[in-house]
Amino acid sequence: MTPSAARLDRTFSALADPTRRAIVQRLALGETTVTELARPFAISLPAISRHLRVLEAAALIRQERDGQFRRCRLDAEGLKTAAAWLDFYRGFWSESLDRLDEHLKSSAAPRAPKAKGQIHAKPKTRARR
Amino acid sequence: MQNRKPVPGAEADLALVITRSFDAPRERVFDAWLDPAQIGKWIGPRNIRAEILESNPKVGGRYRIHMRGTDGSDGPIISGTYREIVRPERLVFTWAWETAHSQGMAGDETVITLTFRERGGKTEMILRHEGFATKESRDSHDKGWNGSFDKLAETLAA
Repeated sequence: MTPSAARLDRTFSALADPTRRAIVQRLALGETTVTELARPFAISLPAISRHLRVLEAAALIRQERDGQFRRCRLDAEGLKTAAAWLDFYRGFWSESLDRLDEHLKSSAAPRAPKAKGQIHAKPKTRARR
Repeated sequence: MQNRKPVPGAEADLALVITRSFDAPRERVFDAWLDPAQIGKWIGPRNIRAEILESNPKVGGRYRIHMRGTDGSDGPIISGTYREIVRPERLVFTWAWETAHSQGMAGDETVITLTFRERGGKTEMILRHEGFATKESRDSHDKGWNGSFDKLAETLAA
């Protein structure tokens, strides 16, 4: 696997968890302490810390020590990776599907396909006399 | 990464989901994806002229597409394997860049799931392109996540 694929895997699997997504969304509002971050969740602080480590490894957040507190904030790097992937394919498919639409219109209702129907269903057999 | 543990909510994997309506019967939209004579006419952005190098539209069969520029420039090759072919309802295939590519995704196998529905004489097609290749990623889930993620990405980019 290429480094970029591994990075994309880390980002997407880190985000494939509702608690971690909620953490990321909370941090989008601004940085905060780990204690503050854990408050809305019905799980232990160590469990939150584990989620934070996964997010940190995926470059989605950063943790910093601030005296006796640990502060968290978003790290744009991981999101950029995922956003670039989404943006690229959104453009790729949107344009492809525009062209598909045009193609379907331009070749509208081919009345007599010239026997190249290798992927078409067999014609219905007519009732024999 | 064989021992990646399943996490709760892992079925809601991040994916790109695009819904389009086409003024054509389902069979025609479906066939446009598999008929080698048709794919090259539309796949890829407008500056691409796709050339079908290989096409074997059956389950387990492979396809290879060379994406050349309309200006004659060379481009990447995309290849994959068909996983499910249920005409005219559903099509699942893998998608990978064989060669390096501006997005740096060479070697990264992704999965595309297409579903085709008849809606008042038109065809509604849902394209789901998944970001990473979880082997069991199948049915569609969690479209809502996309929207919130996009907003988040926009917020960060701002």
